[in-house]
This record gives sequence, structure tokens and C-alpha cells, in this order.
Amino acid sequence: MLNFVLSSQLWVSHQRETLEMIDDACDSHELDARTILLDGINLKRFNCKQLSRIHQTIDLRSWVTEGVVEGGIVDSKGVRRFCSGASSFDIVVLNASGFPLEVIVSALNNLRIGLYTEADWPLAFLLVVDGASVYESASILSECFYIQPHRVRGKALDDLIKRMMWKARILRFFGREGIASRVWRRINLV
Amino acid sequence: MSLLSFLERRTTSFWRHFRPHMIIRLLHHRALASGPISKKSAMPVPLEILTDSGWDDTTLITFRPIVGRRVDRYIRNITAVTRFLDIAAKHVVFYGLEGDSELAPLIIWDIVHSVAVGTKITFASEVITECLLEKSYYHDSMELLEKSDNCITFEKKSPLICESDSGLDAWTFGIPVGPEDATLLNVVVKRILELNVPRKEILLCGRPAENFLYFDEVRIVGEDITAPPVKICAKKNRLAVEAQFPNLCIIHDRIFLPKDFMAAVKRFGDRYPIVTFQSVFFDDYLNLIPRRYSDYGISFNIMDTSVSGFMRDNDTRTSSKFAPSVFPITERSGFYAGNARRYLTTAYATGSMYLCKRSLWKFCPQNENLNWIEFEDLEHAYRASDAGIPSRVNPHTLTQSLISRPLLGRATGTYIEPLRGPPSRIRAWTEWLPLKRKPAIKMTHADALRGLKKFADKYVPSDRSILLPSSSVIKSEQRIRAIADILSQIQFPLRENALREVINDYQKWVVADQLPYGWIEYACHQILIERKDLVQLLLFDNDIMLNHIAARPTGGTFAFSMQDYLVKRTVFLIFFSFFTGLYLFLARKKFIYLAGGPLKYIASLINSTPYRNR
Repeated sequence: MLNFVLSSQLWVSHQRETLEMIDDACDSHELDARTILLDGINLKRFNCKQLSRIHQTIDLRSWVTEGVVEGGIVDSKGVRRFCSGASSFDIVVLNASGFPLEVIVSALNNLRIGLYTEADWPLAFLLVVDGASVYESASILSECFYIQPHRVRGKALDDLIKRMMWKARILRFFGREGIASRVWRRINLV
Repeated sequence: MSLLSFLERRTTSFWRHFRPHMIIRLLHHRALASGPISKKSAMPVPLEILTDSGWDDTTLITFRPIVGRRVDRYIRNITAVTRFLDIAAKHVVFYGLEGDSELAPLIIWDIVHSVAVGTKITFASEVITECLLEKSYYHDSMELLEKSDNCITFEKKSPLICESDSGLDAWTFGIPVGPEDATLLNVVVKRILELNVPRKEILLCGRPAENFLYFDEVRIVGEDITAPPVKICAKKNRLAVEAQFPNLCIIHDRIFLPKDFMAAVKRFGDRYPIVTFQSVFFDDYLNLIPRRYSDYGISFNIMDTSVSGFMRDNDTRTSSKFAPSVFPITERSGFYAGNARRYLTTAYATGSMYLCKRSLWKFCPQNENLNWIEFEDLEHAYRASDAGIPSRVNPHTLTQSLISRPLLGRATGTYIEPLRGPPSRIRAWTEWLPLKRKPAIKMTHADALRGLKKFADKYVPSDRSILLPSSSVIKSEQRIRAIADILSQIQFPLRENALREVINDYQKWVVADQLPYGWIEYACHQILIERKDLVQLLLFDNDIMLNHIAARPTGGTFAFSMQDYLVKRTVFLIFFSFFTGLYLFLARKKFIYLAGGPLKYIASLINSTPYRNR
């Protein structure tokens, strides 16, 4: 599933171009885990074609119930209901403009859990947010539906390895039980 | 036979001419948790049942104290390895046996098989609940004559299933095999050919690799059974169907049989149920670091599991605790290495070795809905137990395992049930010795490196590069570093089938060991809900990986060749086998039990050591 993020201002002004650009991207890209931040320059330069794929736009308001919590509470049941039929759409647009980041994160978490058991996903997912939170939303969305590479190296990795090796040596020499093993584990906090 | 029991038997046969009834009193081994049954702790046998019921020539067998009459014969120190093959009578009465002893299914099995057709068998007690002879194994041969609140009588109408395959001279050795390297299979088959079994055949289910040396000595069957998944149950069932001889010895291609196999089975006796030998794996090349390895197991809580599922054949009339959908729950029950001298109905012979009669296997075959490492051995044993067929140990020799899976043979010790129970973690004190060890995982360095590469190629995006030096499978620290590097760079969707595929590939290609079902579910939950870091979860918080490093802290996890599992016959090896034999004899109540003294242990070790060809 290709992920896209767009500011609400551009969505209002370039809705048709956005959908057609995504439609086009679904053709030309491999269906991989990329998250693409759309900007106005791209959209303005894009030559419109005929939209060939089925799209569905959801207003986050329809998933949020008003409550004592600021911004409201995401209705998990509604999200899951949508997820069970999500594969029938090629492009899904979640319009989250006007909502605080916590509510958006909660909605995305619910979507992730809902889509987890689905065998097929839509080809593309577009998240529309306020211009001020575009960058933060993009990095959250990129890791929402996919495990992404994060190379661990340097001292952090050395420490983890050293700790594991040390723990393993204690287990080898003293076993898992017995006083010696317990004392060693206490001393070394493993 | 001790002098005491010899005299007892002679006296018994003498008195039998004068007395219409014979009384045999059984006494448990003192160390068994069931403890002694004395006048203070149990009601005596009401002897009126012998006189008032009008029975004659009756043999009463009981653990209860006898008051008011002399006991004709005592059988002392009864454990699960004691056999009762010399009881002959026209009418056998078991008084309170099933309530007084957990060993009752074994005792009843032996006696019911050794008495002649036409013998009456009565179970009497203050309260009679379900009787063993009502179970399906006995159903066709035992006729119910009479049933009351405290007495139930059967008559043996025909020989039992196992009796149709009497005799111990002819054996079929069956081995399920795959197409992988046949070095170890050659060793196993060579040993079978060396055994002094009067009539034998060797069946292989599946075609071995081209380097198999004994194509002329074996019969290959079941080539139509496909893999993966490894349909081990279908293979074992096929072996039983194709067997020509009445005695079956079904072993995996890692079980090295002892030279004294024939003597051990003869000493144990005929008409046996499902039987196995105890097994050890030596982690080193000097027979100094023994580990009890996958032979006879026990689970205490499996029957408490209330969740079950449907099997793969979708038979909705019955549900099973061993259905694939409930593996993570079944696994939580806890499984331990069982003590040869103890018995519970939840004891089982692990699938790596079965000695049983061909007819018995055909009566109770393995469930072909299950594949390898899907608790197929437990399902089989418990189904057999429900049908009245116990699983037990032949204590007259032992086998050695050529290889060990780290999941089962842990450096930190194995949970073993000692004679007094309950299970505790037991670890040979020699474990810490800095000796050269055998490879921890049955995989060559080249295959291990190929596995890492395959995983990286499948999941690391093409725009990233992974460096895999050969040291990443030779040195343990480098291995951890390489795995961390790969895991930190993989990419996949958080979709159930994709996530499970990643974890399956990880266990197959990277860990090269089995991850527990419950842990896989935990990992899926942690990744999906808690968004736990993949490297931390799959590598550093993974107990299986920690066990690999604990087993081989510097290196030697994988093999250079399969010959690495075989040992050289040296003076040191013989010397240390003496030493270990003595150690195992001293630890016989909690580690391994052989019927005999220290020399028996030493001889069994030497007889079962897999030597390298010179």
C-alpha cells in the first residue's frame, strides 16, 4: 500500500489532481511501503488524466465521537467496520484536517489493527492533515502500516550485544538456578 | 531374581496345592510419591469376597494390607519398569488396584496379556469407577460378565491385539527420512545392520539423499508423501502398514541404537505396549557432558486445558486439545522429561523412538491431521492412553541422540521429573567445562549463511546493502551482529499473513531452530499493538537466541560437516565414559534409570556411542 500525506489546503484546491496523481503513482510504482509527501508544486505541474480507480473519502469526524477528551474519541467499531470492506476501494482518503495529532494517531492505530487481519489492502492511502502537522503526520504514517528499516549500529548495538553475551556466559557457567547464578545476575543486573 | 523372591515363589507353588486362593501383595518402591500402603493408611482387603462369592482358584492381587491370612507372595519395589508376565490363574481379582496406584494401567496391561483365554478378571473395591478393561483396546477381547457397585468381572474371550504379534525375534526398523544429507542416516542404518536381531528389515519412508550408502539393504516406501510440511505421522503410519515383521522399531534418523538392543528387548519381555528407551546426548566429544534428550515425557496440566479446537479434517463431532488452532495454549501446559520409574496417564514416548507391536500401531495410528513438531507424539500417546494403551520405558539400555535441537537440549539444564517428583531443572555439573563441543544446530555453515542471505534478500529493500561475512555464522558475536543488522533493515506490511511469514522465515532461515508457538503469538501482539522494536524483540529479548549463545558463547553453533557429530574412539573417551557412567548411576533417581549397577550404565554408554569411521 502506497501512503500519501497532503495538507488540507492543497486537498481543498487540488482534489482532482491529487487523486489522479495517486492513481498514476499506483501504476508506475511498485506496490511497496513508501510514504510520499505531496506538495503543491507537484500537483500544479501534473497533467490530469481520467481517474481509473475507485476511491473512498472518509471524514475523520464520522469516526470520532464527542466526549470529555479534547478532540473526541475515535470510534473503534466504526473504524473496524470500514476496514472489513476497505479492500473494495483502490484509494482511501482519510480527511483528518482540524484534528489534533493524538486523535489522528489513535485513528491510524485503529486502522492498523483493523487492517491487520485483512488479506488485501487498498492500493493507496492518503492522509489529509493540517499544514502545520504535515511533517509529523508523514513520519507517523510511514511506520503505521509497515515495519520500516532503522539501522541500529554504533554504541547502542555494541551495548546490547555485550549485555546479551554476558548474560549468556553467566547462564552457561552457572545455569539458570542456584545461588551463584542469582548472585551474578544481581551484580550485573541481568 | 533375588534369593528372597525365589524362595517366595517356591513356597507359593507348594502352598497352592492346599489353598484354593492365592494372595499376591504388591508394594511400591519407597521413593515413589504414592508411598507405602499400610494398615494405618488403607483399609485391609475384606477376605470374605474370596469365600462368599463362590470363586475358586482365584489369585488376588492388591496393594492393600491383608489381615487374618498369610500372604502367599510379595512383589516388592514396584515401579513403572516392573513387569508382571508370570501371573497365571483361572481367575484374577484386583482389589482396589486402580485407586491405590498410578501404576495400575501398567500392571493390568501385563497381567491381562499374560493370562490365558478363558480367564476371568475381576476388579473389586469399595467403590468402582471407570474400569480400564472397558476401554476400546480391550473391548473386543474382554466380555463383561457381571457389574455391581463394588465389583466388575470380565472374561478374556480371545487373545488381545498385541498377542497376535507375539515373539521378539523379528523386527522391522522404520525410519522416516528426508532428502537432506545422509551422513547421519548412514551411521544409524549401519548400526541397525550390526544388531544381532535374528530376522530384521529396514524400511525408509521417503527417499534419502544420494550419499546414502545402503540402498541395497533397505526398502524404500512412502515416496508419494510430500513435504513440506513434514507429514511425519503419515510416514510413520505408512511404515507400520508396510512392515513385514510383528515388532516395530520406529526411530528418527538421529537415534543411534545400542549394540545390546536385542538383549534389552528380550529382558524387558514380550507383549509390551508403546515403549521407548531413554536417550542422552553428549554435548562434547569425550562423553563428559550428558543431557537427557527427548525420550519419555510427561505433562501434568494438559488435561486441565479447557480450550480445544477442530482438527484439520474439520470433523466437528470431536474437538482436540492438540488442534492447530490451540497450539499456543496447549504449549503452556508444560512438558517435562519423565522418570522411567514413574507413570501417569499423561506420560508419553516422544516421537523420536517407538517400540511397539505392528498390530498395536495399526489399531492406534498417529493422527495424520498433524505434522512434525505439532505435538503429534503427545496426541498419539494420549489417544492411546484413552484407549487403554500405556506408554512406558524399557530400562535395560539407552540410546544416544546424534544431534540435539537447542530448544530441547538447553545449556541451562533440562526439567526432569525425579523419582520422588516433582520436576526440577537438572544440569550435569560438567556443563561449565571448557571442552570442545559438538555443533549446536544440525546445519552446516554454508547452509546457515545461505539462510541469512535468503532472509535478507526477501525482506531487506533492494536499495539497502547487507554485508554477510562468513564469520557471521562461525562466531557467535558476529552472528548476533549480522542478525541485528538484517533485522534492523527489513521492511514488511503489518498484515497478519505477512507478519507470520516473516516470523516463520526468521525461525527457519535465521534462528535455525523452533520458536515456541506461544512466543510467536506474543511477538505478533508486541509488534502490532505495542509497536515493540523488531531487533529488540526478535533478537535480544528472544530466549531461544540467548540459549544459542549460552550453548556456544564463542562459536561452533553450526557444523562444518555432519561428521562433526561423531566422536573418535580414544582412550580418553573410554575413560570418561566410565566416569560419566558412574555419575549417571549415582544420579539414577533424578537423571536416568537403568536396571542394573554402575557397570550397566558404563556398558550402555559405550554401546551407544556413535564413533567416527577410522
